[in-house]
Amino acid sequence: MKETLTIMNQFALLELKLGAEKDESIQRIIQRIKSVWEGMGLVYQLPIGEKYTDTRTDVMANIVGEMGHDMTITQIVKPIIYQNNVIVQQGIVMVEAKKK
Amino acid sequence: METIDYGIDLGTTNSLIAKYSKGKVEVFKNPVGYKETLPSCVAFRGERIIVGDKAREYIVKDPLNVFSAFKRKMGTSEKYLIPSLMTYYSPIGLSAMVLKELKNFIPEVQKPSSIVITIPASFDTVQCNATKEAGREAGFEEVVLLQEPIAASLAFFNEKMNDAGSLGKWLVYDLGGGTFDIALITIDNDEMRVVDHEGDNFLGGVDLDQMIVTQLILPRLKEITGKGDIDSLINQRNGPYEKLYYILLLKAEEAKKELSINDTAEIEFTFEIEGEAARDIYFEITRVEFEKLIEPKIDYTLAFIQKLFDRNNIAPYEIKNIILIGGSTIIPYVRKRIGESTGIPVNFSADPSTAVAVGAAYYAGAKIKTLPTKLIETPNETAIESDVQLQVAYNKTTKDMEEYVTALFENLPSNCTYRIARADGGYDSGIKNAAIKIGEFVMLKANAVNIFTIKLYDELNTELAIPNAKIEITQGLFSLYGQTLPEDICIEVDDMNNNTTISEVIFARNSILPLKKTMFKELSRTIKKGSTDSLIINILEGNQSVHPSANKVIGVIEINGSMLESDLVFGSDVEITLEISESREISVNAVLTFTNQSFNHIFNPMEKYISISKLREELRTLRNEINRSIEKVLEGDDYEKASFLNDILEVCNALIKDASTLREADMDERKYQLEEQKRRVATQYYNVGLNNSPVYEKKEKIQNMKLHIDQVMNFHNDIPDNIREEYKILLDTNPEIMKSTNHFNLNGFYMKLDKFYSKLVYNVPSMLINHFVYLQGLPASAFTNEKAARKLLDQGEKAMEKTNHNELLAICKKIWAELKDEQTEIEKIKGTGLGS
Repeated sequence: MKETLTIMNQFALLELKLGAEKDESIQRIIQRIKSVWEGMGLVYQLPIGEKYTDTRTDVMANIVGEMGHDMTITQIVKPIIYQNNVIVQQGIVMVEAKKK
Repeated sequence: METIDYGIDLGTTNSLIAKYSKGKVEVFKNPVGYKETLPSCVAFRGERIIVGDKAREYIVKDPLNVFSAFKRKMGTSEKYLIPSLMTYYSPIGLSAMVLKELKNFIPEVQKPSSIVITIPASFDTVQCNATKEAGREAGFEEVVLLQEPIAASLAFFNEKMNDAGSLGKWLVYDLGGGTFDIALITIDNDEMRVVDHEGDNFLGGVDLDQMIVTQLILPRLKEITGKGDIDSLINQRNGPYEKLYYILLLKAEEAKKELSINDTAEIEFTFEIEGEAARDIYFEITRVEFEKLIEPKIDYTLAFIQKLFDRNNIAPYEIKNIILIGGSTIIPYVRKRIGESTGIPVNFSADPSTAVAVGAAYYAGAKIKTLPTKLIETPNETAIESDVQLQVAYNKTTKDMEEYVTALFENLPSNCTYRIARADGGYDSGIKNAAIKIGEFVMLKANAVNIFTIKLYDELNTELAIPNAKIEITQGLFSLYGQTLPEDICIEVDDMNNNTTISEVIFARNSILPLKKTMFKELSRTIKKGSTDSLIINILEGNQSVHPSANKVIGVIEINGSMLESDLVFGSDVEITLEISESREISVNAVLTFTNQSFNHIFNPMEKYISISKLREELRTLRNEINRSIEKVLEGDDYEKASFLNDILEVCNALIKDASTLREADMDERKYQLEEQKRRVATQYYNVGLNNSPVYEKKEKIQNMKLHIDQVMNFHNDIPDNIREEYKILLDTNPEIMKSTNHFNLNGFYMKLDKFYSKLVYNVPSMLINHFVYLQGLPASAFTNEKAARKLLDQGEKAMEKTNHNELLAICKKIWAELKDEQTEIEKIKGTGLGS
């Protein structure tokens, strides 16, 4: 299991890096690999840009800059991983107050 | 007499809870995040109290309201001011919160009233009493203390050593996340005692991570980026490199772990500062560099060992072993350096992270309780009874990512707290004081049913039973005007093992429209370019558990050889995306990844699409199945059913004859009529009560296999305990399998049983012999090469006489290869071309 999570972590980061990549065949390969994990009940989530509050226990946050009421996830170090709809790995993220 | 059984490692940095039961110790995991360790850290965020990982997040940003390392202040008069509450908390109160949180790790049915809590060897009487008080504040009525080095030794001796080898002097070297301790232990006449100890409360793995950042990473980063101010600004709060600093600390921790296994570790990150283009940075650090870096720190710990020796007039040869615990002792250099410098054998066989908690549980397992038990034994009860009533109001469906929940308590006792948590572990409100009316924004997981539970605790942190405490909120998928699917939507795929096709569900009945799903299928056979062979994507509406021919076809894409740009090779992928709009318009997009061809089709629900070749094959398959069933019912002398089946067979034969005259170019409606008639015949056949649907047949196979395994498990007494346990786990983890109507789940479970049975034959000599005797009893016609099989059976006979288990197993494997495939005699179906 540990090895699978390590592979998923690396793959999720790869997906983030390829975020702007429009090549359909690459996107298809990404979806293909994700669907294999899905078949095993494993799904990862990249909460980039999502709202952050201290009640979010699906991620461990590193708060950058001043704290504010409008905190957002700005960077992902590790994705959130679910197995059969239960979190098996909390995400590790950077959180910042929204810039005005 | 009852024993305490539960032990807590109340650490400076992290805490754990474990339980002793029947000779084994289980370390409990946090229901949020599933980690065994809970950071000993408490944060006050407004009226909310947060304990553990979430609290630690605010250490740097909100230091006035976050408290850690309070264990060091146990027994002092120090009070911590909580600015957000304008009140004071003592180290005892904060420790009690950590203990209460650990109590929540235990499944509700257990809740102990007595506990063993570990303390450092250096704790004096006042500190010990303070720890006991914290335990009582957390709701434990009986608190027994145990010194940490003793606990670590107990974990080691109970799991690794026999009594005879343990007498003498030992050292326990504990280098954890933030603290270092070394203790001298003696074991004499069954008594274990801490003779002396030393330590540093500010040395641990965190310091090593910081050294990696400042001394290994930053110099390289300065070189690469030319930024000369990085080292002076890197850890400045709200400074330009703050985000980078946190990332580098995480990278350093990963590299430290990596260097415990490999000679080099990669440091890779994106260097981003405001106003400049981001750039990717990559370099390696080596184990040699890392070891050189930490050498002074490890030598510093060695000096403590020398102090202990000097103070107690002990020579290293008098020490039997140094037991290593604490996460940082995983570093190979630490192990090597300590062993080489002291000349004492080092022992790192105990799990360094959990040893203290495990030892505490072993101790608790032998410690008799002085209080009567208060365990809640009824498994259905998760909390103690109360008069509290609860009414909850919230939107059951929403498109928002958070939803406001209000709740009204009646008969609420004073000083209660509550907590709302999401079942998947992704949301936790933290502990809050309960009032008659409470309100909370709960965060939702997108496109899912979010299940929350409200829990109410009395002042001793005992959970009180409350009605209506479960909340279900559906996010995203549902709109108030959304329509549900009346039947399953399936795709027909080949099941070559059983020489048939099956309906694989894509969208289950009652799913909310609109729907979209992408799936990948492998080709089950090669389709040649230019051939008349075709790949059929058949979308069905009906029941997933019946044969595809009994379901309605709502869309077909037939890709034949003439449409291919090159051969479509067996095993290559087909990506199929199926979309159903709210008005039930179905669109299918199929991409052949091997030839990179894409086929789209939108099916209007008012039109029907029929593949003539598919219709013909389905009718032939149906005829074969009816024939098989007639034979089967005649074996059971059920003439009435046989007669009924004969009638269906006649209709089926007539349809086959009609279908043979169909042409693709025909303009009339005959093919639609035939398709409809075929479906009716198939439905009649599958409803006749033969119980021969694919799902039923699979269930029957599972039942038979399970019965057979149960029998052999009872009969053979040389089956090892671990294999028996494995079977129990297999059944326990699939309790509902026989209620499933999903062919794939059933097939998966059957495969597991089959694999387990093979394991029995492989590992249990008496079963292998039985199996060989079975093979001996097979008729000659069961083998492809009768002569070769006979020779192997003779060799097996000799191996059996010599009771040579391995040789007999090897021979059996060869005999299996000689067995005829049972299905070779049956006409093979062509199928859809899509593998299951």
